[in-house]
Amino acid sequence: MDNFNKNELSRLIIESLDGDISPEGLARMDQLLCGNRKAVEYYVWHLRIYSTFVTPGEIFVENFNAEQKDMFDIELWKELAEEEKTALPIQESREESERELIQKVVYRPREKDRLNKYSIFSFVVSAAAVILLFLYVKFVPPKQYGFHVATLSDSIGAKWADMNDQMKIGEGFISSDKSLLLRQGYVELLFDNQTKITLEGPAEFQVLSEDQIKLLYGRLYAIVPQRAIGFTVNTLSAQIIDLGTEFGIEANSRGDTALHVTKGKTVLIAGEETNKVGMEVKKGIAKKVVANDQTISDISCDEHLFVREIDSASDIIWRGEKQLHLADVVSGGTGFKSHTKRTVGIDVGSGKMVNNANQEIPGGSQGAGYASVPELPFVDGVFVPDCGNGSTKVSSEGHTCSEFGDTNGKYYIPIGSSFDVYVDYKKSFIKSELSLKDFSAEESSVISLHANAGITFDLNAIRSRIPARIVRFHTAYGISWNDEARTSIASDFYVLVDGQPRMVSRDVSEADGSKTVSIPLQDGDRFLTLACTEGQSNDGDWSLFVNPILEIE
Amino acid sequence: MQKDDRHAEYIELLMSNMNAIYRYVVTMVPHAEDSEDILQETSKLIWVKFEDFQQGTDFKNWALTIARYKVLSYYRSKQQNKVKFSSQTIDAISDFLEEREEDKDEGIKFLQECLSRLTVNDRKLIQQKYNQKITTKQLAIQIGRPVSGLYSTLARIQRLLVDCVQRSLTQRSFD
Repeated sequence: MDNFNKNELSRLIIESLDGDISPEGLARMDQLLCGNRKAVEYYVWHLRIYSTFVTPGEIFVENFNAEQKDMFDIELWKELAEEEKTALPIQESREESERELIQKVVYRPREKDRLNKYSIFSFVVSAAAVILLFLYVKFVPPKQYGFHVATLSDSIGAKWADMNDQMKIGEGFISSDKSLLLRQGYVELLFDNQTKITLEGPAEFQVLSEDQIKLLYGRLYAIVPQRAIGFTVNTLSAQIIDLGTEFGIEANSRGDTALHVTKGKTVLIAGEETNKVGMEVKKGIAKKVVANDQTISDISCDEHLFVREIDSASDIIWRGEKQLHLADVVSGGTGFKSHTKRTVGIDVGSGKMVNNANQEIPGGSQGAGYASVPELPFVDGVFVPDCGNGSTKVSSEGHTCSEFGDTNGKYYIPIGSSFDVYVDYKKSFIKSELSLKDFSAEESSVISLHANAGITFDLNAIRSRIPARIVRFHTAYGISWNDEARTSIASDFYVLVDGQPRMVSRDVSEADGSKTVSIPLQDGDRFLTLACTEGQSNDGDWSLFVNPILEIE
Repeated sequence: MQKDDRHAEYIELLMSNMNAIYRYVVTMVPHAEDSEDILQETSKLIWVKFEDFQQGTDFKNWALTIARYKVLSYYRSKQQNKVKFSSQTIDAISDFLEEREEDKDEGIKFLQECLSRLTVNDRKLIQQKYNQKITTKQLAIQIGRPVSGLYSTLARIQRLLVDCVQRSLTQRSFD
């Protein structure tokens, strides 16, 4: 006999799946199935449908928002009330009062200890870790909504939709399926598990849990520490699971997803409901998922597409550039513009920023010791090199250098970043264009000095804002072309690291053309100093450091 | 093959067949937590045995064989299992699963349509339960209703969906 009560069987299956079935219920379910092919067929379909519902992306169940979910209409309450009248009594597996269940409380379900994500990163490079992460993401219930999971740790120019006030740095994000729309600007979210997400507006996203974010469209960059392996980004067409990495994701309004992995590796999951594909995507590889047909294709990995780091204090928006241009820093920039030429510069005597950096000081001005430059966070200070009394202080930490020789102790022009200077000529100023052989002014950046001047950069200040290692400094240098062609026009050039000379080049004249120097830097090196002194005499010593660049990685 | 390549191959094969393996395991062991544990153990054993898998052969069938072994180990285990089926029932489910796999894939394609035929309230309940992956008791607390009636409601909805999918499949075979 193949007759059976479908509602009864479905109920028992649901109780069993939930772990709430009694021993009697188990026995009854077995009794219904035993020897009853139609019941077995029904049972298999029920489980087939269940497994489809619990597998993300297999089927779309419209996403009712929080308000809609709460507002079940009166008909549902009536139906539920009717069904309660005829409902089978539940055999409680634990002692719980029915009265407690009726109360609507917000609670956090018991943690699933057996599949603890943080316990598995000890297998980080093994297949077991990948499996466990995949299973954790697919099958372990996410935390309930309504809990603090992240903080707005920084923002630059951020404008949000649907908010009267801007979100303030330090404000928290509560886990929710509510969409947040960043109309413009950049924001950095620091999750409680230390994952850092940088978003570039316009972007729409949902902060789902402490280890899941959904990007509906826009760009985000994720930096995931070891302890947060398994952090997941969902888009409309894919799911990206971190395996200890940095990656960028771009989603467009059609639902297409582009994944660019810049460090480590991820797992990318996409595809049709019955033909899901999962693949490991490693550093330097990028994939695109087309939402329309769920195809996955290779694309070129663009390491500079995403904003990786922002710092509102110094206005830095870093897209992973590998070079920091010191000339841009001198003129008040962040270091990521290669051809900046501004007329602002630094007065060597006071350390203050001045507007006309390219105007000569007639007769020069006496140095006043080491002067800090508070307006430029990457510049430690400036000074006039003069070792007539022994040594010259070259950093705020007290490093000194005794290589400079006995100079006249004067400086004649602020330290600037322009090839154009105004030279004092018989009480008026005439424009003079500085140049260095083999370098065109249009395509180069410059730190322009006139003997005697020195500038010290604070590499730790750079490291604190950009999560990269500084590995090398290189520059071209020389005396600018001068139409007077006097042989006395020559300078001594210096590059110091923490006060120690790493390059000393004496009596460099225009005839010597351009020279280059490349200096490796270690993680412990803090102060980089560039200086020039007058050589044999102080006369037309326009000294240039052309394309002075810090290499970072 | 280099170790990295083998690893990558394993990941791709496992990921693309994970849903099929899970479907099998949860059908044989209809308990959410226990079936996840079995799936985890199956996945690990597949990796351990992956050296024995011959490239170009049917990975899905090979993986399901390992899953079957793990399921039977579960039922033979002396510890307190949450699900206790008789061996007759286990065999009947297993035999049915092996039949007409393509029909089941075909039938699921009708599920989206069947879902749309539910009332809005029924779909809301489904969405809340499955999108949040919570138990019926947890859902009852959320919506402030007794759990017993909610079980009945969810069973009714599930029955509607199974009937709809089976009916659609039958109709398709007549077309």
